[in-house]
Amino acid sequence: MEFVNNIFVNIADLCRALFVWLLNLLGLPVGLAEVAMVAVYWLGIVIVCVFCALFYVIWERKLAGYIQRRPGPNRLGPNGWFHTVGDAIKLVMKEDIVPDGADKNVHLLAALLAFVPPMLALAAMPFGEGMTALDLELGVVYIMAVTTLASLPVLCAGYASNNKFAMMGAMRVVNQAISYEVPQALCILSVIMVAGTFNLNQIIDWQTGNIWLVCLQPVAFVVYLITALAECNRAPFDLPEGESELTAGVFTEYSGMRYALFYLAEYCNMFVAAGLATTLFLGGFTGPFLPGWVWFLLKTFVIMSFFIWVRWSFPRIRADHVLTFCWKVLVPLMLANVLVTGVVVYLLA
Amino acid sequence: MLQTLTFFALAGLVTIFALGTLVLRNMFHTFLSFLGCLLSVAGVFFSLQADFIGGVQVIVYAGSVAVLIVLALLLINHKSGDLSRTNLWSHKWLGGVIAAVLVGAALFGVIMFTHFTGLPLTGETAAIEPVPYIELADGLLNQYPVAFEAMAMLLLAALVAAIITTQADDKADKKAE
Repeated sequence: MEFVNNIFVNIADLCRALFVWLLNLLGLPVGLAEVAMVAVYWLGIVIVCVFCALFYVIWERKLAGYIQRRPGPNRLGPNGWFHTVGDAIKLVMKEDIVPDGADKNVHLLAALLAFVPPMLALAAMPFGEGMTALDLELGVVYIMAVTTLASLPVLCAGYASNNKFAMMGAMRVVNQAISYEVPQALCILSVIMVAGTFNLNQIIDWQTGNIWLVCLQPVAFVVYLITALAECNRAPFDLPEGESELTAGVFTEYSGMRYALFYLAEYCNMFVAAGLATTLFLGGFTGPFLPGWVWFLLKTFVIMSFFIWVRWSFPRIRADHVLTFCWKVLVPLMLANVLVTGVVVYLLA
Repeated sequence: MLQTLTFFALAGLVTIFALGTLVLRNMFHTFLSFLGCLLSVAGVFFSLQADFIGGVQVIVYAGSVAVLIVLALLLINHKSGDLSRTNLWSHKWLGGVIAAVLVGAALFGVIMFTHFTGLPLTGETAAIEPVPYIELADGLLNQYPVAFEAMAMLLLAALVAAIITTQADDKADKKAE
């Protein structure tokens, strides 16, 4: 039990010992082992990114099938679970088409940068006990900062495509992302006011000692889920793609591998949002019986399934309604929530 | 050693991106370069253990301000986004010289009046204390609340002024029609 709980920590220790042994053998300073460990951490994060993207793509299609009472993908592999692999191979083999009028360098850069923000965010995510690659004192601020950057590759894509639909999609991304950041920041602020720390691991410790924050901040939790959907450009906030109005929005001029990068990055962004919700509101990796990292994956799985459920249940919202809802409903609501939280924290302190 | 190297790498990036912002002729490339400059500055903050300032730099500048700037530019500029008349290639040198002198003087003053301790160049790098954000909040809200509020009022006034000036333009346009 203890062994399974710490299996990844043990693997990391083993790697570190191996590096130290190698460095001693080569007569190099032992401090370089920590530098080499950074590479190991990044490798782990890349693996998590790729696996969660591949898994959640097929899970989305399966779950949509269950919800709509149809079989869903059921051809390749047992019950159709290997469809994503087939899709990935198809997308890699497709011709890489770049439009003539496009800004070719930025077109490529946008696709390459799409994966950077979720990977940077996952670096500070506590997957389990002692399983935080970057245990920052200001972890929450760091994750907010890097997830803010997620809208920039999409903006680049919209500009570089030199296509009016893509440009309109990019404008919508920016509108939406910047607007919904405000209530999201206020949600996170409510949590920080209660827990009294910016450190993600300490927030989890606080919840272990007291109570899950979802019980104390239910409004913030619900608003966080809504804003997370909007920040990830997921339905019902998928206006940037908006296939009924903008063909495929920002992704109109993307195909093959470059499209696949954006598509997979969307799932990674969702995973980051779900992971942050788990950490801030649902007690993170803590839970009885099962190892910590299993609890983390289970809780994120539930939230991801909720995101998918929402996508297949609600129609797309009109652009002006999206912004009106943010500025006239969510922001005042969260300001009131912060005020009440502040008063209660002050009175109890 | 490692910290000094990081500092020089980041300083080089800041310089290159800042030059790119000035020299590049395509508007969007200028924006990307500007963004790179902002992010490298955040990197400098992080390397100096000023995590909070670095995070705020990314959230406010790279995440929001830069994007708003590019949106405004894209809305204004209907043509190919050629900046050759407004950046380094322009011939409006008088305004440029005045702005350069003022900014240079301000920067020089700030540098002269700051007492630097533990610069990354001196080798005493391990002793840098992380900026205590609780003391930061205490300073802003308890010690200097008037200055903080004055700054907020100034920004609010700028916002209202921006709205009013653009509004006036609208009316003039309607009359012209």
